[in-house]
Order: sequence, then structure tokens, then C-alpha cells
Amino acid sequence: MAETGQISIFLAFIVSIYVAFAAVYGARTYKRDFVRSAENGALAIFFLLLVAVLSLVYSLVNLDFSLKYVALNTSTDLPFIYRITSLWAGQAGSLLLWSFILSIYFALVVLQTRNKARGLMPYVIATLAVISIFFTFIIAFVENPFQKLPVVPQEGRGLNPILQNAYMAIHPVTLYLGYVGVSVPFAFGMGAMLSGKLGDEWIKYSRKWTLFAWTFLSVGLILGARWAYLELGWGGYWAWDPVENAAFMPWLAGTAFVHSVMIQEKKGMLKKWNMSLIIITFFLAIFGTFITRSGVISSVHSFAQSDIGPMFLGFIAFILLFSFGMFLYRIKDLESENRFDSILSRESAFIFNNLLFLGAAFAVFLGTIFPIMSEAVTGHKILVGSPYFNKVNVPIALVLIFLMGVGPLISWRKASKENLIKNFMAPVLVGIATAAVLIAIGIRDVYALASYSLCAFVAMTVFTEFFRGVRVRSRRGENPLMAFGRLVSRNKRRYGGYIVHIGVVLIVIGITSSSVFVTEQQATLSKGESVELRDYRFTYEGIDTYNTPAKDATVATLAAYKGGKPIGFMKPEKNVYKYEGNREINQETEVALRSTFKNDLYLILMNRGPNGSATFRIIINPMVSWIWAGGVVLLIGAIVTMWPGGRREREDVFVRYTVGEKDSTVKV
Amino acid sequence: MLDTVITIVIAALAAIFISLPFFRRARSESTGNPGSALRPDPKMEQLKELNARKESLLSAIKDIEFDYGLGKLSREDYEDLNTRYKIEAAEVLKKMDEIAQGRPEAPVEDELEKEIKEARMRGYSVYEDDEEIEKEILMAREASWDRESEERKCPECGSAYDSGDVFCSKCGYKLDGDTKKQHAESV
Repeated sequence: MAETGQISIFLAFIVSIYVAFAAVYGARTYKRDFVRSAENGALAIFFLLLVAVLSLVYSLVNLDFSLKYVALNTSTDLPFIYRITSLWAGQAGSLLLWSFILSIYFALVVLQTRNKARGLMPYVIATLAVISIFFTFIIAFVENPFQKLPVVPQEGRGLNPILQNAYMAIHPVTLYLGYVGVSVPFAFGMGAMLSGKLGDEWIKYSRKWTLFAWTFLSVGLILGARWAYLELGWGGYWAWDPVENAAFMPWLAGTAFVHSVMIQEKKGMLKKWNMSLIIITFFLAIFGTFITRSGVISSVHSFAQSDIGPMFLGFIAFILLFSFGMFLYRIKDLESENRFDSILSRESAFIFNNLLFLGAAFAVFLGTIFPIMSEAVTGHKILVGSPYFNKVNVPIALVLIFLMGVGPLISWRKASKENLIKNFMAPVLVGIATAAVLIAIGIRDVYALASYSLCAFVAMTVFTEFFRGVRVRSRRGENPLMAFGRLVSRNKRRYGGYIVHIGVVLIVIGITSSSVFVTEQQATLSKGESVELRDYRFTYEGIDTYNTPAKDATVATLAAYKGGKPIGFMKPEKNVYKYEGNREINQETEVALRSTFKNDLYLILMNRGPNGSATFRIIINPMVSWIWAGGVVLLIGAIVTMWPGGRREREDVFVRYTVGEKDSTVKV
Repeated sequence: MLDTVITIVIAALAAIFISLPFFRRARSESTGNPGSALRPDPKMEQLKELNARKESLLSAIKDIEFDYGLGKLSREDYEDLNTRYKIEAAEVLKKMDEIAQGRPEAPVEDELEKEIKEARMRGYSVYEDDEEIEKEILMAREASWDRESEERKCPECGSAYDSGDVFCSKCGYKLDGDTKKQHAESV
């Protein structure tokens, strides 16, 4: 099977080259059969990479240690499910996954726009093919997942224990769906510039893909945070680690893009801005992949060092030069159709939103590359830690939350004084009231007060939007529930967006609470002793060991009490994995966690002392669950915005009737 | 051995699939159909572009009606924008009609006319969906046509004239540039 896989990858590389040339040739000479052939080529790439992925999974599941990748990432004791997920555990497999996911998107884009946008699509296809050329080249010639070992080992190195966890099983896939997905709107942008079709067509066709990629970047980030919280065991969920930042930057730029395209669609403005923004977003996505995969910035994620670093840099340079080159070439055709009317308008709110997101992305970018730059220039690695990132990003985030509330309520073009007063009175009052209440109950932290008040403000604006919309529909005789349902289904993007905003508000509340009001304590206890923190008490009952085929585990038992009442037992663990080698961390902590919406009780077993004593670190993390809950709400909102149906289908029908097009059009 | 066979089969399938379009073209050429050229029909391209413009105008109209209903837009701004969008949409529709003229199938107009009549009888509300807005646009368009033909009156005898006329068909008065200009300004 391995030979088949290897050759399939090579074929995918060759076909990618063919597709790029055939698509461009077909477009320039108006030879439809070449374009058609290129489209089929895209489908063939998917098929070939599917074969490659299946062969690698087959080899992993069957523990074919003759393959270097299998020997490095599996072992005989590895459970079945993790043999499959080890597909993306290491460098080569991870890059194969990237290429494979790209080919899925590629194939879907081709199928979805089979007979549409004939002027635009060949160049979109060519762009996706070029990206495919790069990645298939890497896995065909540089990081080959099917590389053989000269001597077949008896046992594999095994999978890093911190990856043997449900979240880790899906986190890379969701993140890749996000990273790779950004290629699609980028390809549409490039297609627009290459074909000269610089109207709204490229945005229209790529809209759903942009939302899809953004959704998965968001989900991937949240899952990563949850994984870090559960597995890394330091009590937090975000450390501004370079690889965390690598995913966060395209998310920031992508969020800006999702908003600014709305202005182009409605007002024909910001064409240059949107084009530059999607180039930047794609650059950040590739850059993020580069950081994660090349080990150039050491972090928890640097699973391997290799020489693909320079190649990535080369590819990034090529993309930037070519895209911005085309941009300058086409700059005259990207003129706006409308002007700005006033600073107090929805357009302005959107522009501020964009500037802030990009500002944050830039700040994170600087902080992320500063260590390497400083090492390159001075020879010393100057570390940039959380204080810098928080100092810069927290104020930006607060203003963004404010805009989240202002944006939907302020009117287009120019907000009049009456409009401002009428619409913002209630939410502003709610915000101020919230601040007053919080001050009254003793909260003094400025950031916390600002954050909670702004969240209340935003929540009120969203509530008002829904309320008014339902009321208007109810007046016409619909019952409120139906009115709500039809309101959302008639305006999926608007109300789905509002739901996403609510999700963000929940996440922000969770982050604020757990950052500002976290309390912790470290204690060394002998059996029977207790430690108290806030209104919780923990009594150390005993310590035990158990063994599994994979690990030797030490587990402590503590009885927990809240306000004197028993609430259960908590069992933090410390594990030693039996096989050495691939384990960067051979002592792994399993945190004991008890979550409610109010608090997370987070217990870490630090170490075992003499005479049965043990040292614990106890953290009370308020409202962390709100972050995960917010993530779910965000996902629901995003799904609503992407749900099919509505205007587009009617548009297809209309064009078909008027123009007499006999081809069957695929519904978008 | 099995490996090699599978590999060859996969490679062959891919190659065949990729070259299919070339064979189809050869086949269709031999049966007399013109090769499906990619060269865009300018009319169709224009139509699609205009349609896209129409759609975004409809969407914009829908949005401001919505916002106005929710009290986010002042009456002044709403009416200003509404008129602007509707006039532009009417122009776009007119251009689309001109281009689509001579096309064998154009049932949409008749269907929409029917729906307009029904809507008039039913009465409509501001918050219905885009079809209602389309009808409104068509109504606005027709109203402007009616207005045009109403006011295209010969200054001499008062009877209506067509836009292409140089002399009034009833009394022979020369419809000079001024008259027509005046008329155009008043519409």
C-alpha cells in the first residue's frame, strides 16, 4: 500500500502542474475543453490524495514500522483511534493532511461553480492549483510520509501522550479546515485580478467559503484552548504561544474581512481594501502553517525541525510579490463606486472594526516574530510574553466589543442625532447600570468593569434587534415564535451574525472573569490535612498508584467541600509513560476538574512527598465554562449565516429564464 | 504485485478522466455541433452583471426598509435612499429588458405583471420579501413610463407624441430640442 500512496502523491503533484497550465491556457484561448480538463484534474487531485491518505492510515493502523512515519508516531500499545489520528501527529502526515483538505475544497469549488462565472473560474482554479503544487511538492520530495527505514524496528516511538486526547484528535483537523479554507476566497480574489472581473462576483461566490473557513478557525482556536486547559495543566487556556498566535492572526484578519466585504456588497466601496485584506489573511494562514510546521519558533507545538522552513519562506515571498504585484497592476479598476458620507455611520463603524482587527493582528505578529528577529540580529533571543500581548490587545478588544454593539444599530451613511438617541438610549443605560451594580458589589478592576459593561451593552443591542424584529412581524398577525423563526430565516446573515456576537460576548465574559478573578493556592498536605480557598475546602484523603499498558499513574484523592457541604471527590494524576523517545513530556499531569457555570475547580498534583504527603496547586477559575458555551453559541450563529436558501436560488432561476441558458446550473 | 496493479489502475483512471473533455469535444465536433467556445457572449455577460447589480440594489432596498421599520433610519434618509435605489433599479431593469429583447423565452415579465395585479388587490406590506420589492420597482418603472408618456405633450395642440418624433403627428408642430429638453427635465 505504501508504494501506491507514494506514487499517488507524486501523481497529484504532476496533475497540479497540469491543472495550473491547462486552466490558464484554456482561459486565454477560450478553449473550454482545456478548462474542463483542468476542472477534472482538480477532481483527480482529490482522488489521488484520498488514495495517499488511505494508504497512510492503512499503514498506521497496521503498524507498518518499515515506514519512518509510522515508526516515529505509533507503538504497539497505541489504541486504535489514536493510530488513525496519528495521521496528523507528525510533520509529513500533517502536510499530507493539509494537501488533502486543500484538494477537498478545490474539488467542491469546482463542482459548485461548474457552469458559472466562466470568466472568473479558470483563474481561481489556476490559483488553487499553484497552492497545491507547492504542498504536493513538499510531501512528494521533501517530507515524504512514505519514506522507508533501512532497518525495520521492532517497536515504534509512540504517540506523544499529550496528543492522546479527544480534543487533540479533532483540533488539528478543524484548524486546518480553517487555514486551508482561507485559500478559497484568496483564490477567488486572485482570479478576479487575473481575469479582470473586479466587480462583486468574486466576493459573492466566495462568501460561503469565507464563512466556512472562519467558522473552523474559530472552532479550532477554541478547541485548542480547551485542550491546553485540560492537558497542559497550568491552569490557563491561552498563553500567547507562537503557535497559538499563528492561528489567531489569520482569524483576526479573517474576521475583519468577513465584515468589510459586507460594505463592498452594499455600497461598492472598499474594493482595494478587501482585495489587500484577503491577500493578508491568506499570507497569515500560510505563515501560521509555516510557524507551526517549521519549528523556527520553538514552542510546545514544535514537534519537528526540518528544512521545509526556507521553502515555506520562498513560497510566502512568491505569494506576496505576485499578489501585490497584480494588485498594483489592477489598482485603477478597483475604484470605489461611492464615497463616505460621515464618520458617524455604519460604514465608519465597519472601518474602525477593520482597523482594530488589523491592528491587533499586527501587534500579535510583531510579538510573535520578535524573538526570532532579535536572535537573528543580536544573537540573543528576547522572549515576548503575555504581558506585552495582553497590554496591547485588551484595550483593542474592549473597543471592538463597543463597536459590536454600535455597528448593528447605527444607520448607513449618516447617523442623525435622533437616530443615535433613539437607538442607543436603552443599551447605554443597561451598560451603565451594569457598571453601577458591579461597583456596588465591590468590583473595582477597571478592565473588568469596562468589559462587563460593554458586554451588557452589546447584549442589550442584540436583544433589542431581535425584539423589534419580532414585534414588527407579530403586528402583522404572526405569533411571536413563528415571527422569530421567520425573522431569522429571512435574514440569515444578519441574525446569524447577531447570534455569533452573543457567542463572542459570552466568551469575553468568561475570559474576563477567569483572568481577573482567578484565585489559587499551593499547599503541601499530609493525609487528612485540608486546605481552604474561598468557600471551598479540600481534604487530602490518600494517594494511590495504578498501571495501564501505556503508563504508570499516580493518583491522589481529595474530598471537596463547598461551604461545608461535600460536593464530591477530585482525583488529580501524575503519569509516567513507559516508552521513552518521542515523549518530550514523560511526566504528564491529568488535572482534576470540576466545572460549573460559576466556577471551575482546578486541581493539579504537583508531586508526591515523603510519608505519603503531596503537594497540590489549587486554582479557582471563575466562569471558564462561559468560554466553551460561548463557542457553541458562536458555532450555531455561524451555521445559521451559512444555511442555504433564499435569494440566490431565485437569481439563478431568473437568469435562466431571461437568458435562455439551457445548462443546468448547480445551486449555490 | 497487487500494489503495482492498483497504482497503474489509479494512474490510468486519473489520466483518462483528465483527458475526457478533449474526446467529448472531438465527438461533438464530428456531429456538427460547434465546439463549446469559452468566448463570452457579451450580451450574456452584460446581462449577468446587470442582474448582479439589480440583486444588490434589491438587497439594499430591503435592508433600508427593514432598518426604517426598526427605527434606525430617519424618514428623510429612508426616502432619499429608497428613491435613489429604486430609480437605479428601474434603470437597470430597463437596460436588461433592452438587452434581453428578441430572446425567445421571456415569460418573467408576464408572470410578474400578473403578480403585481394580485398584489395590488391584496395590498402589500413593507416587510414582505424581495418579490414584493421587485413588484414595487416594476410599478415605479411603469409609473415613470406613464408619466413620461403623459407629459410628452405637444405644446401646440396638446396631443401626445413619442420620444422619437420630430414633428407632432397631429398638428405638425416642430418638436424642437427645447421642448424635449424641458420634458426630460420635468420627469
